[in-house]
Amino acid sequence: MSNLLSTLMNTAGSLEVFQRSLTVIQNNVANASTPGYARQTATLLAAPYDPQSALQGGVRFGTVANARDEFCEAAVQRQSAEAGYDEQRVSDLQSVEALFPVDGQSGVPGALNKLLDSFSAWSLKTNDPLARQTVLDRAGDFAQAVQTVSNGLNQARSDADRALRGEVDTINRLADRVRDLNVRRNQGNQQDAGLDTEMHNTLEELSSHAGISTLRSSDGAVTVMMGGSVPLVLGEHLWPISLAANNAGAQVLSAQGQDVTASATGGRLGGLLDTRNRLLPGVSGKVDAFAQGFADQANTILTGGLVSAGPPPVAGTALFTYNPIQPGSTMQVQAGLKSRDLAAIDPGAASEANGIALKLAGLSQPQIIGGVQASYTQYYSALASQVGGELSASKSDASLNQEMLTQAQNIRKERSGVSLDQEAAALLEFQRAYEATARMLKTLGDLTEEAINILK
Amino acid sequence: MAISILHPSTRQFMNNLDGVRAIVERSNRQITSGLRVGVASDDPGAVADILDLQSSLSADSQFTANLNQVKTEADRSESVLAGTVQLMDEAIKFGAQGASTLGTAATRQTLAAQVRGIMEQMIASSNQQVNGRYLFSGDSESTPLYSLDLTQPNGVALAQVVTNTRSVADPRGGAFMASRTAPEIFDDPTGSVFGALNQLRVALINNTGIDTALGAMHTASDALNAHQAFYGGVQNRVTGALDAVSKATVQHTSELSVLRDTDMTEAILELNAAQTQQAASLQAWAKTPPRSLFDYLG
Repeated sequence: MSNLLSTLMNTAGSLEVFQRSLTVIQNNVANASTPGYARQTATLLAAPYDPQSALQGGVRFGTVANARDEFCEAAVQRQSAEAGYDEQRVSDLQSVEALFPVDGQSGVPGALNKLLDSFSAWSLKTNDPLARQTVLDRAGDFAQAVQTVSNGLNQARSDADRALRGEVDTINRLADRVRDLNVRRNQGNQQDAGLDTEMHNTLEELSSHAGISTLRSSDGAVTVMMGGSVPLVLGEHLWPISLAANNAGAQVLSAQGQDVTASATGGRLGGLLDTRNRLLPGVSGKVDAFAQGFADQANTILTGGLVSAGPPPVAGTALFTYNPIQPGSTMQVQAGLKSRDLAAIDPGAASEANGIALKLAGLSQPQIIGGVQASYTQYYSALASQVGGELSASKSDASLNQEMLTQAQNIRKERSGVSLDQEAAALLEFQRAYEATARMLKTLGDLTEEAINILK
Repeated sequence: MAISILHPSTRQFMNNLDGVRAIVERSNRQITSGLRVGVASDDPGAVADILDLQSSLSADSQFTANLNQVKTEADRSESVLAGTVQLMDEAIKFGAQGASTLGTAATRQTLAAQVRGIMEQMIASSNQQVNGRYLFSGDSESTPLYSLDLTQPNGVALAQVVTNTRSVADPRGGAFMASRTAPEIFDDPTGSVFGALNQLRVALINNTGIDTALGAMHTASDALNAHQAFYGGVQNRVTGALDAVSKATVQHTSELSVLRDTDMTEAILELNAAQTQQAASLQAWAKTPPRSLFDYLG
């Protein structure tokens, strides 16, 4: 009788185990589409069974195993960082590319062509007021076009600084969320699938902003390092980064105030830093060299000429002015310059009435600009080509890395995600087991009642 | 970057669809704009050549305008000098009539007046303008140089001494002089037209030295012919330069088109293929809803 009752109790316990297993399946199915959710599997353990030792056996509910594969997670985070980097570069470069039109009619190339043409036209009519005024007007347009490019690059730098501050704030916010999840994990259930999902989603999101690596300590807390060496989260402690930006560049500072820019090479942060510290200063410098070179050459030619042979001879005046610190954004036609002040006469060994105008028109030929032998058109087109080339490469890389990210996520889904087919098959199994155990319970119940009736 | 809720296979489909859409957009842009390279990233390697060619075309256009202006002036100058050669021939005839033993004093006075008339026409020729510029005034193209002054030895007064140093850039390289000054042409030291005409006029009036004056007229006429030939040379050079620029323009335009412009056939084919692929992908995806074992459980 006592054995019958203990068997009955054992069977009832089995039903509860199967019910808990069904709960696990239900949770999996409910979270089949939840981003970052890892499949949970109920483990069942056979209880000790030895009838001679009165060990009734049965089934016990073990642990809920988490199918998460940290290797797959790391692969996804790596690819997410690459994709974030290239997406940021594409966005940055598109705004810079707009400053370098290649239609030949607008922007610096168009203005330069028109200015050189005006010099050529002036060489035929050196005393024509209209031809002179056209030279001044075209020079003004050219200076304005150069300013537009230079100021556009300066604006891009300001925009990059603003975006960098936003990225640093986002990284710190996400890192703080990881820290908070570590705290909640330590205070609550360390097997909480919901917490685990939230943690890995946060890490994946963080990885798109900065290249990170993660370590899991023995108590399950997550440590996050940027670039493999800069701590962001150590257990329950946050180590926020900060940004210092000035004309020289933008630096990422660790929580201790050290410059860790060299470690911030991945994700959107890395993309922004590359744009801010390498691309923009490089292109700006070349625009400045272009502006300064042209202005200096034009001015040297003009100041070496004569407005009038006299007597007394009247020397020529410089056409352009600029601030040597930022030639590109400050280049302009000299204030107060009149068309009659333009010197066309080249005194030279044999004076030429239009020699200066011809020399100015000759600026279309290759010169030495910033140490490079090229025409001004070729020098400028190299800049446009550089920006276009980097953008084209970034677009290709972004497309490829997005493919690889999706592939990594696919592999992760296969390894760690919920398969509805698998869950349906498990559901069937537990359903049958539950039904069989329920019948067993009914049978045992009938036997127990009969035994009680015998005793009455 | 927020985490997507889409299944990775769905994301893969969306990535592929984005790629096809990018091709459709690019093809559409190329067809509507006619440009294969609209921005630098369309073909970074071609940007340098495109901008160079556009610069060359701009220079070609300016060279053409310049040379056409020079041609207009050279044509006009040559035509004027042709007229002055005829005037000289006419004056020589008058001188021959005056030198004839059949001429009377009254006839010679009439002939002298006619020679004076020719002098005035010659001065007008030396002060010819085109588009507001005096053709034979050298670097001072806004100033007429000569006026009639019979008190002077050569019968004219020169307003100012001028230089003629303005050269014209040749698109084939170098530069050339495209004009001569009135003093060079009409007051040439080897044979001054004004001097010869005035000498003939005076000789007719005084009825002495007419033969000597006629000799001077022939010498001046020969010099005038040489100056006319100079302008003929300028016309030839300008014509050659214009021809060279025209050929260069065609070549540059053709090269630019190859680099920059859309190959319409290729773009349309690419667009059609991409649109077909896009439609097929969407239809295929819509027709295959994901099923699992759950759909078949009773």
